[in-house]
Amino acid sequence: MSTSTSAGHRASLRLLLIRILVVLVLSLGANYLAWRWLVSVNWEAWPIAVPLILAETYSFIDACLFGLTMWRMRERGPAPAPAEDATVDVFITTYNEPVELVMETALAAQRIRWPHETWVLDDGARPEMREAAEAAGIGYVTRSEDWADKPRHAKAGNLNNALFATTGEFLMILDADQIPSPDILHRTLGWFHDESVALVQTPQWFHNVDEADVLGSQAPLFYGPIQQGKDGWNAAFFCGSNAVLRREALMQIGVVGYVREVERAVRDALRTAKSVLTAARRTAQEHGPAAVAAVESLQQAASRALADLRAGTPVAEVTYGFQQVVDNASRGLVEFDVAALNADLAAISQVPFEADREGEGVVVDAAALDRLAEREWSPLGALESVRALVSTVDVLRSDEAQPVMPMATISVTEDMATAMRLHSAGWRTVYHHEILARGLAPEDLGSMLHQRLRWAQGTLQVMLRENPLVQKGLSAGQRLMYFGTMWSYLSGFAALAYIAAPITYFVLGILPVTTLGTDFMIRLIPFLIANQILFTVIGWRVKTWRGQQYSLALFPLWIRACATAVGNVWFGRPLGFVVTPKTKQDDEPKVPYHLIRPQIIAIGLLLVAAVVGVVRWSQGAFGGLPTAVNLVWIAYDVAVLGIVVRAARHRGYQGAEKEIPAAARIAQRPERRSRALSPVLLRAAVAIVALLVVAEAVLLLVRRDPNQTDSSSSAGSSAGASGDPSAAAGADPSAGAGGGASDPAAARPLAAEPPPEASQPGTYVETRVSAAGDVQVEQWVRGTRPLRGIDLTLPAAAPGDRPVRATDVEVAADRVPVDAPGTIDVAQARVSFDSPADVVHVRYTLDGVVERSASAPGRALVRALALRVRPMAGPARMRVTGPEVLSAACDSGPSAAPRPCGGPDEEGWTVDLRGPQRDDLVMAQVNLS
Amino acid sequence: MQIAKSDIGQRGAVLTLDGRLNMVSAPQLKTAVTNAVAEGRSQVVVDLSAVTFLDSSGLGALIAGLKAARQASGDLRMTGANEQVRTVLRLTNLDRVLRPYDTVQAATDGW
Repeated sequence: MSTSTSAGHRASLRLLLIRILVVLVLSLGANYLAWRWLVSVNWEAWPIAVPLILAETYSFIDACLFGLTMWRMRERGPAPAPAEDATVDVFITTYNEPVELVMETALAAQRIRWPHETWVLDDGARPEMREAAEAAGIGYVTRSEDWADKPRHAKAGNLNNALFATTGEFLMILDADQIPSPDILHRTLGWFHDESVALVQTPQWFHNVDEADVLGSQAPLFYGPIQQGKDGWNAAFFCGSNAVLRREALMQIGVVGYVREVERAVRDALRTAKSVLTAARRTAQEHGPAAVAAVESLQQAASRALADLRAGTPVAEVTYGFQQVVDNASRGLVEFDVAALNADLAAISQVPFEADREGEGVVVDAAALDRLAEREWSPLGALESVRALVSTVDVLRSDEAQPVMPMATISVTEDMATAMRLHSAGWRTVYHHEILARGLAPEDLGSMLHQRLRWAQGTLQVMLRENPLVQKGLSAGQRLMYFGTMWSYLSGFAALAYIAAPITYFVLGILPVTTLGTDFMIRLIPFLIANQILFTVIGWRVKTWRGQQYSLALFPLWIRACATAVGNVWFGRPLGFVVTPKTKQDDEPKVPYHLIRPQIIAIGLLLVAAVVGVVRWSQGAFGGLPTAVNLVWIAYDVAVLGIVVRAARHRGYQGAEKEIPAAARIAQRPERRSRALSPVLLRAAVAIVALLVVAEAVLLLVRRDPNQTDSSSSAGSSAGASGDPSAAAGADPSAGAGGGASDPAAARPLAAEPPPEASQPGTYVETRVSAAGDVQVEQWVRGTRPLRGIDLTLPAAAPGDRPVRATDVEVAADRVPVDAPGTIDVAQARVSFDSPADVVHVRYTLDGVVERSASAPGRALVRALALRVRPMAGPARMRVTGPEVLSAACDSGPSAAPRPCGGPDEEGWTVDLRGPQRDDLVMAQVNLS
Repeated sequence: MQIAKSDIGQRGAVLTLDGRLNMVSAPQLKTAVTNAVAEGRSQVVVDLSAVTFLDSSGLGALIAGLKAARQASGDLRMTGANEQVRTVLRLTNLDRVLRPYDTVQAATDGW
C-alpha cells in the first residue's frame, strides 16, 4: 500500500515537473517564433525564407500538440482482477507468414491462462495452415463465401469475417508474430469492469532488435509517454495488435456504420434515379402512352421515396415500397421492343458500382452515377436501370461482403479509424503500460519502409476521410490527440525546408533569416535547451533519438504517403499497399541504396554545401557566425539523415539465437559488419565546425584593429567634416580624421594601411549607416596595373525626396592624400594622380540616399551604398554596417527586378559582385532604431 | 434462446424468439432466417415479444437476416420490441432502417 502511494506521489510530482517544462518550452518557442515571423524573416529571399518559417511554425505546432499530450500523462497501475465469467476469443491474424511462425504464436496463445478460445484467422486460406492449427486443437477461420468478388479490406476484413464466426464477449488481437505472455488476459481484462471501456491496448515490443535498433523499430516514446498522455485524454490509440476489445462496442459501431452507409447510399441512388427517369420520359413519348405512364409512376415513386426518407420513414420500408413500384411498372411494359431492351440490359450490367479494394467500398462512384444519368434509356431500360441502381444500394450493402463492418475499412490502418469511431460513440479506451507480448520487427530496410509507409498512408487516409477535428462525439482533447498524430506525418515537407536552408546559404549566399546574431541566439538557444530537458524528463531511461532521426530522415516516405493518400482519397487511385513482411526479404542482393536515393542526394548536397561554405568563408565571403550556425545545422541534418544509410547496410538481427522464434531464424550470410557511416560523418562535421569556430576566433583576434571596431554610433559624418583632406595627411592614426579615440566609428585615416580586402585587384567598399541616418563610405580601389587617376560618378539610384550627392569627398593615392572635389553631385568627377598609384582610398558622405519607411518606425532603405568608381578591375565587395542591417538587394537596371543579394556578417551585410554585376546598384534595408 | 417458426401464407414465416438475443445466440437467429429463406419463405417476421435482452450482435443477426430475405426478393420485419430493444435500436440508429412493428398483423401488412 505504502509503495503504491509513494509511487503515485512520484508520478504526480513528475507530472507537475512535466507541466512546468511544457509551459516553459512552449513560451520560449512562442517567443522565438513570434520574433521570427515579426522581425527576422528575410522576405527578399522568400523562396527559401517562407518555406523555412512555415517549417518552423509546423514544428512549433507539433511541439504544442506534444505538450498537450504530455499534459495529462496517465500512469495507470495494475488492472483490477477480471470478472470471473468473461469469455474471450484470441485472434491471430495472418496472411502469408510462415506456418511455423504463426503456430509458435498460436501455441503461446493457447497457453494463455485465462479461459479462452484461440483462432488462427488465415487470410491466405492455406491448407497447411489449417492442418497445423487443427492438429493443435486451435480454431481456424478463413473468409466465408460472402467475400467472393467483394473488397477484402485486408486485416480489417479478416477480423470482420471472424467476428461473425465467434461469440466471445472480448476478443484479443495478435499479429502472427506477437507471442503473448500466459498472463496477458489476467493483467488486462480487469479494466473492462468499467462498462464503457471498449479497448485495452498494451505495448508492442520486438525481441529481434539489438541495442542500437538501427531500423528504429522500438517505439518507446509512443508505447510509453505518448500513449499514456493520450490515455489521459481518453484517447489511447488502438494499434492493431496486443489489444483486447469488447465485442459489444465493436458490433455497436458496426451497426451504426451500417445505418450511416445505407442511408447515404439510398439517398444518392434515389437522387440519381430522378434524373435517369427525367431523361427516360422524353424517350417514352416515342413508345406510346403506356410507356409514359410507367415512367411517370416511377418518377412519382422516386420523389415520394425521397420525401419519405426526409420525413424519417425507415429506409427498409422506403426501398421495399419503391422496388414494388418498379416491379409493377416493368410488368406493364412487357410488350416492349426486345432489341432495345437487350441493348439496355447490356449497358446496365456494366453500371460501375466500383469498389475500392484498399479503402472504403465506395458504394457508387459519383462519376458512374453521372454517366448513368446522362445515358438515353428506353422506358423499360430506364426502369431496369433504376431498379439496378436502387437494389445495388439497397439496405443490403451488396457492394460489401457483410452489411455490418465493425472494424473500420476506410483506411489501411483499420486500428486508428476504428478507435476513433469508438471514441465518437462515447466508448473509453485504456493504455496498459506493460509488455505482455513480444514480436518480430522488420529486419531490413525495405520491409521497414513498407511498414512505415503503410502506417503513414493509413493515418492520412483517416485524416482525409474522417477528419478528427470535425467528427461528432469527440471531445476537444480527443480531436487534438488524433490530429496530433496525423500532423506528425506532415513532417516530410518541413524536413525539405530544413535541408534546403543551409544549402541555399552556402551555395547561393542567401540567408532566410535576417540575422543569426545575438537576437537569434538568445531566443533559439533557451528554447532548444528547455526542449531537451523536457525530452529528458519525459523520456527518462527511454531512447528517443532514433525516433527523432526517423521523423526527419524518412522525409521522402512521408511526402509519398501524403501524395498517395490524397490521390487515393480524393482521386480514387490505388495506394500501392503491401503487407508488412515479418521476415527478411532475402532477394535483396546488395545494400538497397536505391530505396534511400533522396536521402543520399540530400546528404551529398549538404556535404558539398559545407565544403563550399568553408571555402567561401576562408576567402572571407561569409562571416564566422553564419558559417558556424549553418555548419552545425548541416551536421545535424547529416546526423539525422545518416541513419537511413546505416539502416540500408543493416544485415538483420545478430543477437542471441535462442531469443528468436524458429521461423524467424533466417540464414545469415557471413557479413563483414559494416562500420556505421553516420557517426563518422557526424564526428567529421562536428570537428569541422569546431575547427572553424576556433579559426574564426583566432582570425578575429588577429584582425582586430582598434579602428575597425565598427559600431553604430554616428560619428562618421563629423569625421568627414574635418574637411581639408590634408588635415588627415600623415596624421597619427589614433587621432583619426577628427573623431578621435572617443569615437570608435571614426573612419580609418586616409593614410592608414588599406584593409586586407584591398590587397587584390578590385573594389572594396565599407558603408556605415549611423542611427541618425548618415551614410559614411570608405572605398578602396586597386587595379591590375597602377592607376593614373579615377572617375567618380553618382550611383543610378531612383529619384528620391532629396537629390543624391557625395560630400566631404577625400581621396588618397597610395596613402597620400590628393586634391579632390569636395562634393560630387551631377557631373562625373575626375581625380588624377601625380604618380600612378596601386591602391586608391576614397572617403565621402552619401547624402540623400536614406529613405525612411513611412509605416515601420526605424526602418529605412539605403538606396545606394557607394559612388561608382572607374576604372574597375577584379571583383567588388560591399559591406554595409549600421545599427541593424536587415538585408541587401542588387539592381541590374530597369530590365530586371532587384534581387536579394549577399548575406549577413557579424556586423552587417556583405555583398560580393563580379563581372557585369559590379555595375549593379546595391541597396540595403536597415533598422535605425 | 428458443426460436419457434410458424408459416403464414405462401411465402411467409414468423420466427418467435424467447430469451436473450445476444452475441451467443445471434448465430442461431441467422441460421433460422437462412433456413426459412431456403424453404422459399423469404417474407420473415421476427417476433421479439419474449426477448428479454438484445445487444448489438443481435442487431447484427437481424441485419444479416434482412439481407438474406431481400436477396430472395422477400423482406424481414420485426415486432414486439420491448423498451430495452427499442433503446438499443435508437442508440445504434437502426430504427432509421428497420421499423419495429407493434404486431405481426401490422408487420405483414402490404406483403
